[in-house]
Order: sequence, then C-alpha cells, then structure tokens
Amino acid sequence: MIGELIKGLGVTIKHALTSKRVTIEYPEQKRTLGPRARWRHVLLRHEDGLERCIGCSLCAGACPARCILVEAAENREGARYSPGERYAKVYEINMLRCIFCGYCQDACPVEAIILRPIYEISEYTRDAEIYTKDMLLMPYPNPQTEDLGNTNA
Amino acid sequence: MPDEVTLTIDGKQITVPKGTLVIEAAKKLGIDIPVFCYHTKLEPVGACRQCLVKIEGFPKPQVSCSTQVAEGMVVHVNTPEVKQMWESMLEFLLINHPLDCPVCDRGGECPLQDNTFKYGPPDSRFEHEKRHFEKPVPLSSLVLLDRERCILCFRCVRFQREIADQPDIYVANRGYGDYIDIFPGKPFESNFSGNTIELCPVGALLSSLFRFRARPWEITKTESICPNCGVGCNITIDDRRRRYVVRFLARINDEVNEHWLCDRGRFNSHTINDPDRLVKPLVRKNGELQEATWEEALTVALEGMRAAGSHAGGIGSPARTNEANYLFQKFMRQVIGTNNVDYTFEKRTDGSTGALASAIASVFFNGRISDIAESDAILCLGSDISYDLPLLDLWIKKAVRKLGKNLVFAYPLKAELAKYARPFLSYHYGQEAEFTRELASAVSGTSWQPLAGVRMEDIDLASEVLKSANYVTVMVAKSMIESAENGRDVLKSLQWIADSLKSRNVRVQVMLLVQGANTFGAMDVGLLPGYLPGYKPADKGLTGWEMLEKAGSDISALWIMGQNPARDLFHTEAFTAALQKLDMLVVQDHILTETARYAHVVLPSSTFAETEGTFTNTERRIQRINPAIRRVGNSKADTDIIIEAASLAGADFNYSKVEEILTEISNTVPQYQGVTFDAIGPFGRYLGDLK
Amino acid sequence: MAQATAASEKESRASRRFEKIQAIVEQYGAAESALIPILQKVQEEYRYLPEEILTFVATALNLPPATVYGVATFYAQFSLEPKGKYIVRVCDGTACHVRKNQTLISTVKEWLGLKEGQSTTEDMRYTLEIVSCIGACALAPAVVINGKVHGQMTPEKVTKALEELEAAEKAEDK
Repeated sequence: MIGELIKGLGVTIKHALTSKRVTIEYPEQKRTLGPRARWRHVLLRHEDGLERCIGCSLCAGACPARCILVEAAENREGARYSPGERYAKVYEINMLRCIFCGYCQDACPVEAIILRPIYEISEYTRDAEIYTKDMLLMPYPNPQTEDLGNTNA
Repeated sequence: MPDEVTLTIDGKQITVPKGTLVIEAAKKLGIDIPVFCYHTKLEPVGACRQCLVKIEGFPKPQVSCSTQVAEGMVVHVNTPEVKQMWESMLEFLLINHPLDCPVCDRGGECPLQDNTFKYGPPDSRFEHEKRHFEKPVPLSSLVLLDRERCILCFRCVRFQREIADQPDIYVANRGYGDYIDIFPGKPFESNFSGNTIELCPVGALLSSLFRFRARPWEITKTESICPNCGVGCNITIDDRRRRYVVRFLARINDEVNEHWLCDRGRFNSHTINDPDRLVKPLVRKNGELQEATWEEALTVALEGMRAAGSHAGGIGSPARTNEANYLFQKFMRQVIGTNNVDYTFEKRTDGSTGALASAIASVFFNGRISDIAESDAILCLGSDISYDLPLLDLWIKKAVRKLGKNLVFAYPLKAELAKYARPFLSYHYGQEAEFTRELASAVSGTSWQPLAGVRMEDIDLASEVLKSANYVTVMVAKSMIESAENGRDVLKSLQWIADSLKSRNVRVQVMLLVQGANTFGAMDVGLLPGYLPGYKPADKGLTGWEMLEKAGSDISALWIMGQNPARDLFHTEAFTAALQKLDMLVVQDHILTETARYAHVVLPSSTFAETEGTFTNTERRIQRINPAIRRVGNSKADTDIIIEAASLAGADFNYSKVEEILTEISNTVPQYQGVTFDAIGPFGRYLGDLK
Repeated sequence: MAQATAASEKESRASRRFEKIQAIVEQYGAAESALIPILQKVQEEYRYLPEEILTFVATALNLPPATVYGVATFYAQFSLEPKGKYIVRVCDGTACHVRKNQTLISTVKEWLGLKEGQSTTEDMRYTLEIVSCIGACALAPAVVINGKVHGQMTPEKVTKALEELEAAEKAEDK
C-alpha cells in the first residue's frame, strides 16, 4: 500500500517538475488574448474627430442584458458632435450587467461601438461600473494604442 | 337584398354593404393589403398605388382603396402576380426615400419599414442620387417636415382639409417636384396639427417635442385619458423607463375621439416631466417653506384645519380623479367637520348650482358625443367649442360638412364654428337668459320680443331648423347656466325647448359642456356645497368663490387640491390677497404653483400620469386612467395623501386599493351603480342612460 | 418726418396696387372657380405673382392662402419670382434637344450674362426659360422671343434676334 502511495506521489512530482506552467505573474505579466477577444467597449470617432455614434439606440435594442442607455439629441449650429442630425447625448453601459456578447457591435449601423480586449475593468464600487460616454469615447486627438485596446500589439 | 353585394376575394365569399371599398371587404376577411395613403377616416385618393390587387374583368391591376365592390366581383390578393406588383411599388417608393431609419423617429413603428420588410424587394436597382431637400423644415413650432422622407400620400393635407378644415398645408408643385409646404410666413397653426404627425406613414412629419427623445422599442405604453378638457379623449401615454413621458398618442375610441387628439392635449407632457416637480412635503417655518417629512407636514396641516373646524374649507379639482375628489369631500366633511367643499372657485350665481344639480340628478343631460353626427340639427349654446372642447369641434364639422347636418350656433363672439352655422346667433354677453327665453318662445310658438341683440328672423330660422329635424342635439355650456346672470332661467328655457320639441315628436338629446376632465365626476361624487354624493341634499356650505371671498373672516383654513387660484385669469389679485389672510393654507399639487407659494403646508402629489383612477367626461362616460410612470421623489397620489391624513386623525379610511374607493362610490352614487374597473373596460362606460 | 412720408407713400402705393387686384377679382365676381383666370390676369399685370397679392386674392375669394399657393405652384405658367420684360423661351422638347438646343441655351446665357442658376438678368430686362415642347418640332430647334416663334435657330441667328430686340428697345428709349 505504501508503495502505491509513493507511486502516486511520483506522478504528481513528475508533473510538477516537467509540465509547462499555466499560471502567470499577473499583474506584472499580462495574458495575451485572442485577436477577437471581446471585453471593454470603445466608442470610435471619424478621422476628423466627430463621433461615429448617431445615438440611434439600436445597440440598446439588441442588447440581451439591457445594459445600454442612449439618450439622443440634435446636433446644432456650433455644437456638432457627429455627422448628420442626431448624436448621443447620454451613452452609458452598465458593465456589471454586460455579458460581452458583442451584439451591440453587430447592431451598430455606423460601426461606432467595438469591443476591445481590455479586460481590466474591476472597480471597488458598483457606481464606478456605470461607464459613461466620456469613458467610452476614444480620446481625440492622439488616441493611445491602449485606448483602442491593442494590448496584443 | 338590394343594398348588399356579394363578392369573392381569394376564393372566399363575403357579403358587404353596397359602396364598400374592396380593401375594407378584404380587411373583414382578414386579408392584409399594404397601404400608405388610405385611412379609414379619410376619403380615398389612390395616391400611393401600394394597395394594387387583381380584379377579374379588369385588364390592369386596380387600387383596392378606391375601387368599390360590385356584385359577383372576383378579387385576387394572395397571388405571385399581386405580390410582384407590391414589391415593385415599394421599390418605386424607396427610390427617393432615404434609408436613414436609424436616426428617424418613425424607425421601428413605420408602415413603410414594416411593409418593406413584409413585401418589399431585398435590394434596390436605383443607382442614381436620391432627391435632396433642406431638412428638417419647421412648419410650426411643433411640427417639423423632412421632405426627403415624404412619400406623398397626402394624408396630412387631406386630414387638414377634410377633417379639421384648416388647410394650412398643401401640396406645392406637381408630379416629381411635389412637396408639402405652408404658405410663406404663415406657420401650420391648426388646433389639430399633431394628428398629421401620427397619420404620416413615414417619418416625414415629426413632432419637435418627441424628436430624438426615444426609439419605439424603448417605449412603454399605458392606456389613459387626456386630462385637459371635458371630452376625455382616449390616449396612450408613451414613457421611457417608467421615468418620464415622451409623448401622448391618440387611442382609437369611435365614441369619443375617433382617431384624433387636439394639440393642446397631445403636446402637454411638459408639466409631468417638469424638472421642478415637488419631491418632498414643505412646511412653513419662520416664514420660509422648508422640506419636511410626510408625517410632520400632515400633522401641521391637520392641526391647522381641525382648529378651524367649520370655518375650514376644501377646494378639490375638476382635473383630479373621481376617487380623489370623493375621498377629499369625505375627509373634509367627516374628519375636518366642515360643509364648505367645492370643486371650483368660479363665481356662480345664486341657486344655479342647485338647479343644475337637480337637472343632472333627473338625467336631463343625456347627450352622447357619438350621436352628434346622428342628429339632424345641433343647437350649440354659449361655448366656443373649438377652443373649449376641441374634439367636439371635429364632430360638429363632420356632421355639418360631411353629413350635411344643420348647426345652430349661439355665442357672443364670432367663433370658428360660426361659419358652419345656419344661423349663427350672436346674443349680447350677459343676456343669456333673455336669449334662451326668446329661442324657447320661438320654438314653442309663443310670442316674444327681441331683447338680446339677435335679429328676429335669425331666431325664427333657428327654431324652424330645430322643429323640422327628427333628432336634435342640444349642447349647452355649464358656464351659461352657472355663471350667467339668471342662469337658472337658461336651464328652464332649455327644458322648455326640449319639451316643445319632444311634443312635436322630435327626439332630443341634451349635453352639458364642461371644461374640466372630471367636472362631471367631481359633481357626481359630492364635491359640491350642499350636496352629498349622488346629489343628495346636505347642510348648506360655502362655494369655492365664497370661501376665497370670506377668507380671513368666515374661513380661516383652506385645503386646496390641484388648483391654482393665485393664477386665475381675472381675479389673481383678489385671490392672492385672500390666500394671504388664511391661518392655514394646505396646497396639494405637483409643482410649486403661485398658490403653493402662499401655503403653510405643501403636499407633493402625483400627476394623472402616475395615478390610477377614473374620470367622468362631458357626456358622462366614466373612463379609466392608469399609472404610466413611477412617482417622482416622495410625492404621493392624491388618494394616498388623504387616506394618510385621515388615519393620522384617527378616522377609519380603510382602502388598500383605489378600486375599493370606486366600489364605495358606486354604492353611494345611484348613476355609478355596478361600476368597477372591469365594468369600465378600455373604452369607458356611458353612464347617462343608467337610472 | 421723412420717414413718415416714406411710410405713407409706401402705403398709398400698396393700396393702389391692391385696387388693381380688387378690380380683377371683381371682374370675375370673386368666384372661387375663377381662381386660375384671376391669377393669370394678375400675372399679366405684374409679370409674376407677388406673395402679398396671393394672400389678398385668397382673402378676397375666401380661400385658405395655402390653397392659392398650391394652385400657383402647380402650374408652370405661374411664376413666384419676378420676371424680366422680355422672355426668351428655348424649347427643350425631344426634337429640339436632338437638334442641339443646348448650344442655343449656352449662347443665350452668355449673351445675357446669366450666371449658373440665374434665369433673369439683373436689370430685369430678360428672362431665359427652358421649356418643354412648344409644338413646333418641325422648326426645331425653336426659340420663342416675346411670344414670337423663331424656327431652325442657330447660335448666330439667336444672337442676331436678341441684338435686334436690344436695338428696338434702345430706339424706344430715345
């Protein structure tokens, strides 16, 4: 019986010493994600800096978790946010509810919202998980690569 | 039968009255035909050509919306050929229609979108640039026009021409260059302009208040009743997230408002969404209104009111529910111990309230709105209907213009309806009693002298019109009976007119025109000085006007629910002075009104959009309102406020549901017997013929 | 003072203006059915239909102004823009189009000095209209100058016709 115990332990030790490690030293070391990993949302801009989002709420309509809130308004003389008549005055995503299915990205008629591989989205409070438009919108000018979530690049 | 026609549609036989349109016959069989320009309430034009069907014997496809049925007609709808035609028509309509559905308010509830989805082509073969216009063009401060989206069905123009008879919009140019326009510098200011937005089968006509506020799939719909006038139009309250109201739409009720709403009702969501809504009770401390808890506010209010005892008074509101008004009068009478209750602070002449009450109790007012169009002659007395009760104006226009009925219109000023009248009787303001007596004398054949400024031949003509009819609708403004000098005589003359006509075998229905959404209900549930629910006589009390007049002397405390006397059109100064003389003024309202600024206690209440209950309209139809949005802050429904106040005072007001209050009303008020929420149903219940 | 006179002068001019319209309306007995002939007469008088006169006609005939405007925009013969004294109509029917009326159009435009999108000269003397078939296909390409049809036109001939018109006008001025 003791022999069998030693045999079993042997298998364990063998694996511990020879097989490849699956854990990594996060946060010093970061995991490489697949190229189409879906995490945090980013609202994109046109090249001239205008927001792509037109506030049509189709993302909110497609969202199975009902985590997106869009309130639209009209672009006016001197306050133009997007091309065309309509823009999103309020754009909020409740990250606690989001299931990262990417339907919003699918539904968007102007390719304004994309899910990027930015997975560090933990917060200490629930309120902080409501991402507002300022947080989601790509900065302009000089977007950092990180803002676009190109962590693999 | 000679007046009926049998035809076959898709192999199914149907018998319909002669003159029926093919599309209506198909609808009866449950066969769907896509349409854009056709609308049941408008004359057919066949402008959009979408409803093409194949009729045997015709070499070419026919528009089903303007082809009448014929004996033995054979119609094919569900055939590949017809489907192909529909597809082609949709492709054709979409040539110039921009595909900006994501930013269009109609996207999601758009007939063009729906029909394209159902019958349309998958793709367009049109490669050229679409037609462009400047957009959106404001036609008025409320209606915007996007000409690129317009498919030229002319529903809006036809509505304004046929139904509203205010053709402020028209089709400019012709053919390919057609577009909808207004006369330069003359905005689209019809009372009914909002209906064109609802009629528009695409997103061409837009409401400036609703534009970009919500997408259809984010909207929750609640059936309710418009609280703005006595007609009680059926509406749908559209809200977002149960938090704010985005728009009101008309709900079809063929006995009240058909498909329409007036602009005053339709565009009136701003008070509900007011950012300055009261969210907490306020109590005056050291001369300032300060936030307080409900218990504190109600305790202060009760103390003040009970200290005044029989010198206290309560004014309810014709815009609050039956339930709230019923509890309010019960609370005032039983808990506070005063007989001074009223629903209005209008000045009324002596004895008129009593005369009106007994006339109502004896069911003298038995008129029905839907019978306006049935009667041969309409006698309208003392009300500028187009302004006071706009939807009745549409009923009258329909009766006169479409059905060729006669209107006798009596009003001191040349109001809009005067041009449809035959004759228009412009009596002198203040001589209502003399005028009605003259008319009654003429109708009954008694001799009389013209005193009220109306020519003798006009009155004779009016009486001839009334006498030669088979069915007469008499509409009389409540103000003509209650506010006019010798208003009681007006009522007597009316009864005389009705009796004389009935003795000539003329059928007569009389309608009392009230301005508040629930004026009739407030009177019915006993919010009247001297009358208990159901018009049972009680000890005399002061009217609202007298309470304000005697403020500081006979009246030391006042509880005002949902009214704002400090912003009265004519008596602001007198009322403001009166309010300041009170030892205790309790105001129950949803915003800090001018009156509330003088209050000692302000109780935040709900608007109609947050309330459950019933309204009784001008034809005495009881209709339900339902809560659409959540209560704002700590505000409470009127009924809950009164129940809470009563229980603080130790009274036994045990109601766990609003319906229990209605049950109590139906047990007390004879006309409301058997009325429950279920019995009322979605379209209301007419109470006039119940004994 | 000067302002007051200017205002009263303007007013009297306006009332004089409406007097003429009133006469036209009365001529037709202010009948609703006479709207088109009335508008035709008004156009003869002013060479176009001014807005305030449309309002006046609408009020006189007891019609909504929008209806009158609808009729006025429906027919191509009515113009809501002021027109020149002389009207040059170049036919753009199929036959004329095939026979190169485009060169005629550009010649007239050049001769009149019209910019893109402009149809009336700044001195309000000439208006160029490009019209659908005038029914003179046998004479294609055709140009109508002041109601007179000129057939088988060439750029040279149209220039000549315009120059003749100009010369006649100058003679008249003297």
